[in-house]
Amino acid sequence: MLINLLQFALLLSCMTLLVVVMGKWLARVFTGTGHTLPERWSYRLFGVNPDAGMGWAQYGVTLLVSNAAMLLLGYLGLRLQGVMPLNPLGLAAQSPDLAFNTAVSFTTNTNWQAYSGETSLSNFSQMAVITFLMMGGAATGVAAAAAFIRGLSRKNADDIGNYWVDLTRVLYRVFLPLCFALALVYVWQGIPQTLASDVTVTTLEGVKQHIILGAVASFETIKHIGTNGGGFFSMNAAHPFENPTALTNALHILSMLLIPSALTYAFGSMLFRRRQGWVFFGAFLVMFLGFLSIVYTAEQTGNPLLTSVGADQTMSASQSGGNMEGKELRFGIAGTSLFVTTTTAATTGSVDAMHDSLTPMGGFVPLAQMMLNSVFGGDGVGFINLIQYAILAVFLVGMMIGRSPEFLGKKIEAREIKLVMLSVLAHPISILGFTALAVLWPGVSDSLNNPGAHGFSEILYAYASGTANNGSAFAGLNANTPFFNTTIGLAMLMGRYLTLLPMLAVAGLLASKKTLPDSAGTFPTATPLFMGLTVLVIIVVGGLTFLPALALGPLVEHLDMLAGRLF
Amino acid sequence: MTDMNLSFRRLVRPVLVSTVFFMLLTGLGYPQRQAC
Repeated sequence: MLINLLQFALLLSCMTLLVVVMGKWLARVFTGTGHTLPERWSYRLFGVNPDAGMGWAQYGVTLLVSNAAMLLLGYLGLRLQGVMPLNPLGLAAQSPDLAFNTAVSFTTNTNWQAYSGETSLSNFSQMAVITFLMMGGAATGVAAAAAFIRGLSRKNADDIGNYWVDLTRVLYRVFLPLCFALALVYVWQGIPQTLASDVTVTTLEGVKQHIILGAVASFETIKHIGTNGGGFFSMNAAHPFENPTALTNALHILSMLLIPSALTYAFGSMLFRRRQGWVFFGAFLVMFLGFLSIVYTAEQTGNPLLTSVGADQTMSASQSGGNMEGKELRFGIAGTSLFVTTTTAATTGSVDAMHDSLTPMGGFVPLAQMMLNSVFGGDGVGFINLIQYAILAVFLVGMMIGRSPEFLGKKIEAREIKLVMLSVLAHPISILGFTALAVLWPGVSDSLNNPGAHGFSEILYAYASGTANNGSAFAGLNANTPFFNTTIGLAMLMGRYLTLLPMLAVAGLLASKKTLPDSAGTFPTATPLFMGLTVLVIIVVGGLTFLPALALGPLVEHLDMLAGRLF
Repeated sequence: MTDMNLSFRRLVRPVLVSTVFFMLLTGLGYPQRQAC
């Protein structure tokens, strides 16, 4: 028990230290006025003026069209896989609906996979489509966060920065150097990095075994630093080639949290409101610790029905105890619980255990975190989501005390609140709407491996994962059908752009306003009280929206389990 | 016509060129360098 708690404390301390280092670096990337030589060459090649500012609408349209081009190129790459190079195994192209789902998934930083990587993608597709879209999708999110923070920091300004500069800088100064260095560590730990597609070996039993290889180390780096999550192999980070040691497991966890957590510090630096940045980091951390304690307790307690038939589930020197179904022995309960909490908090979607095998309350945590979508969140968008709730908190407090709401010295008016609510509502409309549609759609039940509440959780999880741009799968659901490929694809698009674009508009509107000096009547937001209020608003809004659906899934499954019924 | 030229210069060309360039750089160049 103590060693597990020490493991949590050590990793979260490392994350907090990295917040400062990475936050300072991100702030420099976002605010620097000079351009490096490769950047200048790139701008000349693209035909853009890096010093021209963009208003929120121009920034948003450019982001949207740029992402559409990435999506189209990815779709074509997957559809033409059969005639592309680096395909010695002769793998066929993906079907149209699956290629649409995959291209949308990786462009929107979701990385939901309705395919099995090792049996359906060539090395060319894994690199030129998947790795590229993981870089591009994640860089888009961080670029949007840069523009968003810039919008909050400016006054009487018409622009929130230049999309091309943000995208290029994030790729050149953040992702590529970080990924290059980390990939070397991963290779040292045993993760393959080769252009060879496979190797055939003779096992101890004398059987010939075909082992798939590829550029896995470079894939793994951006997969976690970019909060992407799609696996090179079907088993994702539970596969020994993706996550061979406890050290790689820890590095994966730290990589996932690196940028979402550091953005709070970058925000504080750019606005000269460091304390405010730490308040937002605190809000993230409080929610994260709460969810971690739930999943760890549930998994360590295990299934009471097994105890009742004599199975020993207590932790001891010889066993980790608890619910080990679907978990890797080399990570144990603690390493898995931390990974489960992190991957769904930072909306990465990488898995080092099968979430379908979590206890009902263990499975409740990933679902709840994806529904709230504000516990660290994905690269860039997680921070933007938190600010949307912070603005909502300021508005609610303003209504309660009868004063005009202000946030960071800017008056929050009807237009901003309408846009915030559009962003807040798009998320549940997509999750609950598509889940309801799927439950009613003929033939969908054939895709389920489990009946009852667990089967409902599998559907709910799929749309929560898609809309939150998480991408992890609960498993137990055959999602490679035209219905799921299309609807989850649409959910991913809604979750990405119907929350991002309204918030860019909010940033643009706030940038154009003047900054008011703090007065005696200003509600202070850089305080633990405001941190608690923001967390409360997130939990209350999320709870009121999603509790009925959760009650039909993991909550009733937990009660059923206590009553002796399993699915 | 001027507007179309303007939008091509400001949006379409950067989008097309950057997408292909970043695909070559981050999708093929980076993993290939690491594999060698």
